[in-house]
Amino acid sequence: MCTELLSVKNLTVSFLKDGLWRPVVKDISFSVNLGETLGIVGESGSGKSVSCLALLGLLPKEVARIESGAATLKIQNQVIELLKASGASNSLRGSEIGIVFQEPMTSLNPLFKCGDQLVEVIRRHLRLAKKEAVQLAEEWFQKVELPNPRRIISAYPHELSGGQRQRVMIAMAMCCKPKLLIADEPTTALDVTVQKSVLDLISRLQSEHHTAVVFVSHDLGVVKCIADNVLVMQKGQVKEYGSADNIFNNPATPYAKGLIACKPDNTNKKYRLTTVDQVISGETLAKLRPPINMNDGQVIYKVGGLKKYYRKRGSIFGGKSEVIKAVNNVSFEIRKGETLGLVGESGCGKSTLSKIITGLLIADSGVLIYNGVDISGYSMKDWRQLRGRIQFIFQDPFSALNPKHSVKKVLEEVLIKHQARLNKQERDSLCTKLIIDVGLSVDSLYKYPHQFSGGQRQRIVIARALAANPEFIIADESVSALDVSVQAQVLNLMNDLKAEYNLTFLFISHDLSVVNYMSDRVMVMREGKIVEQGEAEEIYTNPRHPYTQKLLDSVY
Amino acid sequence: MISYLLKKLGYGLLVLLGVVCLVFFVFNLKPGDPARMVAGQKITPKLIQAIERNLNLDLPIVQRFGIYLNDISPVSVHNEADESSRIFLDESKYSYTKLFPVGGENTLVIKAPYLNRSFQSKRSVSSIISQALPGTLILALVSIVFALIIGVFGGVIAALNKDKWIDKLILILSVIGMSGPSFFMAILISWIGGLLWFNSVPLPITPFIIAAGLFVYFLVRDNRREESSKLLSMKSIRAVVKAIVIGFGLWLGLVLLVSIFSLGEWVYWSLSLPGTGLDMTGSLYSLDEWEGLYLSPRNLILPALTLGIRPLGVVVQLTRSSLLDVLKQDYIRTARAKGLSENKVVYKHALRNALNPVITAVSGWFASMLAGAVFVEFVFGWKGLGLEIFNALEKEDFPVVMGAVLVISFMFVILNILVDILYGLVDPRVRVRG
Repeated sequence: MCTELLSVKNLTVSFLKDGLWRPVVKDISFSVNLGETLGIVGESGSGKSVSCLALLGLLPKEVARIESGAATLKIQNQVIELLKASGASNSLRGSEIGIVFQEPMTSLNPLFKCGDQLVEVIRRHLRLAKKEAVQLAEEWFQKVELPNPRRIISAYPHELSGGQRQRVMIAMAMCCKPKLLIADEPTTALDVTVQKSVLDLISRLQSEHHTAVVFVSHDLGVVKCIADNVLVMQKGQVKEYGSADNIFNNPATPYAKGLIACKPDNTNKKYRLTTVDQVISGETLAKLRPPINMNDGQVIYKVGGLKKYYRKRGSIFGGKSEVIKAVNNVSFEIRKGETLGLVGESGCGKSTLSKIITGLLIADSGVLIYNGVDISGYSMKDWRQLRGRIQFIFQDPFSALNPKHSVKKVLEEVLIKHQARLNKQERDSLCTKLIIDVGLSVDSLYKYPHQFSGGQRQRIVIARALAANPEFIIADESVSALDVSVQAQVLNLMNDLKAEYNLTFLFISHDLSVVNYMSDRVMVMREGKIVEQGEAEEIYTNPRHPYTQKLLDSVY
Repeated sequence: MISYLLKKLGYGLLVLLGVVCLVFFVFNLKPGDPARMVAGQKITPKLIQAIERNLNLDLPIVQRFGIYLNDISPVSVHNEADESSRIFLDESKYSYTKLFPVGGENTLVIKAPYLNRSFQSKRSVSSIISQALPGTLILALVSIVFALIIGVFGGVIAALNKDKWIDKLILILSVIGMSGPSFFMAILISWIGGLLWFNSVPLPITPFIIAAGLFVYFLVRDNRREESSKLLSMKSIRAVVKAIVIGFGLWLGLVLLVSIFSLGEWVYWSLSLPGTGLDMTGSLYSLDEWEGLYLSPRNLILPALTLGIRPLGVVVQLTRSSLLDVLKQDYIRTARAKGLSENKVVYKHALRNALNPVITAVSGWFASMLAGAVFVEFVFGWKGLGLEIFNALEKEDFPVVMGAVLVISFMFVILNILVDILYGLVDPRVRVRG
């Protein structure tokens, strides 16, 4: 039963950048059999999405072109050239090839009801009457396990959660029973528990309809679980192509080896994370990392009974107002020198909590004690004094830096504010020290943010936080936007700096394996409450709360 | 929904109250003697006194303000018995319904706001405004609809042909339309439409014959180049415009050649294009000696064109940029991924999303047009609020100006509420955010 469905040969795609056509996908070939799953793995910019869009004829025409290559789709003894006929691929999309995109929040048209958006596909390809199409749409909403399909039919996308929207997308992709489903990072934007259920749904529909799936992802764990064959891409080239078992258990190329090795969950906490560069350069010896916990029992920050409620107003067309308990009676303490991990899914209130304890938001009630001083009643002005001690590393390195300021200006600004006694010369030398400490070269001081990659920018953000000479740093999803190989480097850096500068960390993330690797104590947050807290090892090996168990179960 | 509307209405009332205060004090504190102006030529101290008494000018300003508020408020207190009372319930002033007595000779009534009488014509301001308003309303409505239809269409064509020459042409035209001052445009358009092109104009046909030939050639060429025989509508429009432009270019060249070498006359063949026959001035209603007042909608064409040209430019640019923005969105990629035709993707999925900023801009323009387009109405002699205000200001006829300002701000408030409701209807997300 191994009929070849899709075969791609020597595909090369180039993009127009600064007036030149540069290849972003170079000479890649692969094939997918009926009913099989091909996982395409690679870091951002590796060309995995571009190659999929090229097959679908969805590349933006003004800036992208297909240089060479052929792709054939075999459907019932019919061979269709995908890259040639632009008109042909138009009618194939949606009928023979289903597509699910990454971003469920923006992938549905906000002005049309979900039902109408599904009915549109059904009517376009199956040529059904309106009534039958609506009925089929409802059946499909049932099939993708949406609650109350009848209501979803007349619901607008903004009324649904991310996971539900992705189910609507899957229904749209699968409703015409395509032979091939292309899923481009379909679960990347979703929470882990939702991710698991969506992946289960995709594999169920796949086996039901005997669909071939091309699954694009940066997440090796996910791909390992669902793919039969894997294609590893780097910088537009195929690094390794073979069966999943082979690649994950016995990777042939150093790049694939490195990618697998640099994941935190494969690393013992005593050792530094392996980076891809290390593997490629042949270093195999794991290095010891500095200890996570250097506390002497002294509590640096104590939080008690913290509450923050929001009132969600009713709509102008009716609807009740309700109270959202973003942070609901949260108490914990952070000891000097330790790393406290905070895990939770989106909307659990972890960001609100982090804003309250850094004074960016005022809590409704509760006590904040920092170094033995009660700071709960602090005004914004008092907090400004305290900011030198408490610093923040944000999630998105791309928007956290002012594009008009050079790196030096970014650092100097903080130094002038928080270390005012320094003179110009001392400031200069401190800037140099900081930039070297975060692993960048001295000449980067005179560059601007757009000249750096995401990982480098995050290093600059870290340097900025250090410039204030803090003792307590809150890292809110600081590595979530980074590729795994970069993430490993940044995590290593954070641990090194923690030892060097004697810092205390509150490490917030949705990624359980990263939190486990980084922290010595962990708190699990859900719906504004801390449901479980304790030693990291303890929680990961022996979770007590059912929610923690569910979270751990969903990790790939 | 109801509470939201009530809140909006409350804000609107506050705005109106502010306007009333401003208008009253500006016109009452400025130097000048209204009594003398009302009196006209035959000034006697006695007459002046009577007029001052009549206009309450003998009272201190605060009391005058109180009476003014009482006059314009729809619910007010009036004296039924005493004719000399300042708030006497005068049937010639108010059309009222009594509610209930509030002690003494006073009674509470509901009435149409009383806006005083014109100093000049002695007519009531309400009747002056209600006569001028329809003209302004219709002019504003027609020009905004014209701007919307042509503007959205032009914006879509420009966006779909981004960076091609037709896009640039549309952009240049829209910038010209946007930046032309209205008094200049008014004169230009009335000169071209009402004078130059009043009678029939010869239209050369040779360029059109060339253009038709070119168009057929484009069709055949495009069909051969692409496998699908279906032509996108955009493409044919492009072909038409291209053919006409090239046709005229060729024709101009021919005319030059022919006139130099004095060859055949055929290049000058022309049809006579019927003239517009439009008057350079005129209102919605014309007065005829025999037929009396009659409706003359053709008078609307030139002023509506002039008034609509600036919003047209804005609508073109907004539609273009907003559509280009929307076309980059993920849900448009989804629509393409569903296998929908390009027309459906653009007109069903993208355009509706792109229209939100256009609605905002257009509602703003429309509201300001209701204030009367003073220049345009003046140049075309269009009887509307703008012309009325212009004349009243010239003659220092303040009750008319004050009344007109009040009516205009009232319409602003109502329009804003309507636009808010419209947003909710167009975009389901607004309904939730409130």
